[in-house]
Amino acid sequence: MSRTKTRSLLSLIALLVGLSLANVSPAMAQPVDPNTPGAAPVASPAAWAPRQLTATLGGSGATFPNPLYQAWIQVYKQNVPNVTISYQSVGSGAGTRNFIGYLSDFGGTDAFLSVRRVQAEAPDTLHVPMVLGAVVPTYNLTGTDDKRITNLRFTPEILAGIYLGAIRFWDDGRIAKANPDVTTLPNLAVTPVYRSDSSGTTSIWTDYLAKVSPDWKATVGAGTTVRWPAGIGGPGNPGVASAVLRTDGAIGYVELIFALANGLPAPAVQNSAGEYVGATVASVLEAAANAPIGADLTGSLTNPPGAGSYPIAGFTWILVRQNTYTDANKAQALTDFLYWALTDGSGAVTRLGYVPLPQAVRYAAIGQLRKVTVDGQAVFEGPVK
Amino acid sequence: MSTTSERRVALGNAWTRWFRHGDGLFAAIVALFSVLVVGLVFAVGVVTYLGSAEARAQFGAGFFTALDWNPIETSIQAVTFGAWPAVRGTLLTSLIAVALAAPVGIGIGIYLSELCPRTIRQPLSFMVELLAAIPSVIYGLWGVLVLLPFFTDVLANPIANSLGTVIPALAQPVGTGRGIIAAGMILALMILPTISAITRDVLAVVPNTQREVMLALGATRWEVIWGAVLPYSRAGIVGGIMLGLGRALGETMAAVMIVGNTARISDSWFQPATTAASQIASELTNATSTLHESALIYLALTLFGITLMLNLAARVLVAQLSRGAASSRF
Repeated sequence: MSRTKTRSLLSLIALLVGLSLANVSPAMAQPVDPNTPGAAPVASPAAWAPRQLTATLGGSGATFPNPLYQAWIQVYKQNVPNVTISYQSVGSGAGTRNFIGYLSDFGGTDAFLSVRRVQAEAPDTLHVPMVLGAVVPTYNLTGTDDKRITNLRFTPEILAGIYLGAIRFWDDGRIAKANPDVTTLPNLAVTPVYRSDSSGTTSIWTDYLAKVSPDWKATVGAGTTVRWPAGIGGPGNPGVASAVLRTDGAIGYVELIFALANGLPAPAVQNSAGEYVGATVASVLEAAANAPIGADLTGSLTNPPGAGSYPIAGFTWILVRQNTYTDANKAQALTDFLYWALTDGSGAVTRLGYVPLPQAVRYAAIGQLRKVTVDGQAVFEGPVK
Repeated sequence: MSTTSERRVALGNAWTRWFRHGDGLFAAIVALFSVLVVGLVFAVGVVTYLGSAEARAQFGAGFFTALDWNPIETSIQAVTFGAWPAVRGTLLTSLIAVALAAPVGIGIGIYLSELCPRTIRQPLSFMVELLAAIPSVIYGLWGVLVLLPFFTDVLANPIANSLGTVIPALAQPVGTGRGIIAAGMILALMILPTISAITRDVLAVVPNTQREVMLALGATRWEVIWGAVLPYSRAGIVGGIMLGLGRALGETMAAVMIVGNTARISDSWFQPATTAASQIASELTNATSTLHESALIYLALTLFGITLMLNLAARVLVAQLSRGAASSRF
């Protein structure tokens, strides 16, 4: 009995030492050499742990990454009990406005802020990409033999044609030409379904259509809400998925996870290299690796080069302030949380159906966190891993 | 002539009544509550008015009749906002809802108050009132899962193929069925309990002498109801219909789920459309520009105006009706 007691006591001491070390070391490193922010941290990656701070952080924004963010916040709370983070999924637009208006500590958005808007409204905004998401044109179609068709593939011309209202029946020659394997295409009306609420998903989808179709670019354009030439609107990803599910001949664009969850197909789409590619972690990662991403880590991922790239994907970003946080404690807690999410928290990403960042982008994202300063002092110096 | 001492006693009584017994305090508190409500209406008006300043400056009164709602600028399309598709959708869906719900709701009210056996009156009233307590999102869900498939197969397509060949508003294409008529049907269900509960209540306070006089003249049950009871309570019934109309105008969630959310005007009422409330709820969170947001608030102001005008019209109508003779037939 006494032996088990001693052992548990020992482990408790070990735990306490470990905790206090984790607690103290980064905080101590700061006052010692504040003038060498560029110096590589000596700590090995395994030694990093979030600082045990006390802070309350509030953020709001995009709905698409909301399940992931909530999972992160919940698990992080177990690691750092005194840091309370809340994230309200109010939509990218409102999240961005709250952030710019200093109503929140961080913002979430699926649509990056243009350079012009950053300069005009929030010059010290840093974009930190968190994860990738793929948008798939999912459909519900019964063939002439009364069997469901699930192996269609799409070209950019077909997708733009359908959403422009130019392709009106499933047995259209353009669809048949891209799908020589499918011989049972019915003479059934195509019902395009779109998001009735303004959303980042729509932004990615219309950005893609505008890139592949000059017609689309001229008549509709790209944005979170557009004037749809054809089709019906459903509220949210679930609204689109359910409208597709209940309408024979419907096609709708949803985040990959919603297609899979509803047992709807996630078809291959012809990319800019002419290859038909389905939405997988690998194909989205390749798209992110090939897409032109600026030094500020903003950029559109749609229709990138590369034979293996899935063409309809996008980042979701967290917006943080570079040097206008006034509370060092808060800034430290926020950067710790984001760093933890990008590194230790990445296990949740694929499990919840998102695509993790490619390594180079993740390194750059961590680099963004290290730019955050309060009173000229960097608040975060975690290792790039 | 009262003496000074008498006056003092009277003053003392007033003082006691107002302050010692709390009457004055109570009056002040409830007055404050009512001022708060009036203030809220004004605040809503002021906020929507100020918030829509940018859109009002740009579009003016032409906003109400403009047909285009295009938040994105392209090489051949300018950004422009027009309220007519949403206003038209709001009015049409609400009018269809009232046209469907008013006869049924009044019928339910008559049955509950005049004809229903005492034993089932209570449970039946309870069930009808329960309809009013169901959250609108559940109506929307029911609409998507149950009403829409039924509506498309049994009603919309047969109607479009027969009547629709003559009347453009009922013409093909029906498509998925989501549109003005389907939304109107869901809204009708939602305002049914309001209309029937109010009808029942106003019929219940019709004095029995009214009925007895008719019966004494040898009238049948139907003649009593049609000739005495309904005319006596028509102002209250119209008030109930107007309350239902108000709910239909502002209903958001069920409309979002059924109406199809398309700011376009189609000839056929089976085609997807939009309502002001559902358009505001759908687009406000991710408005693409300040003008877009301002236009949505302008749309809210428009909806507010429509509601106010209809309420005012209802007031006038009720006043007219209650001034007229109790019976028009006998």
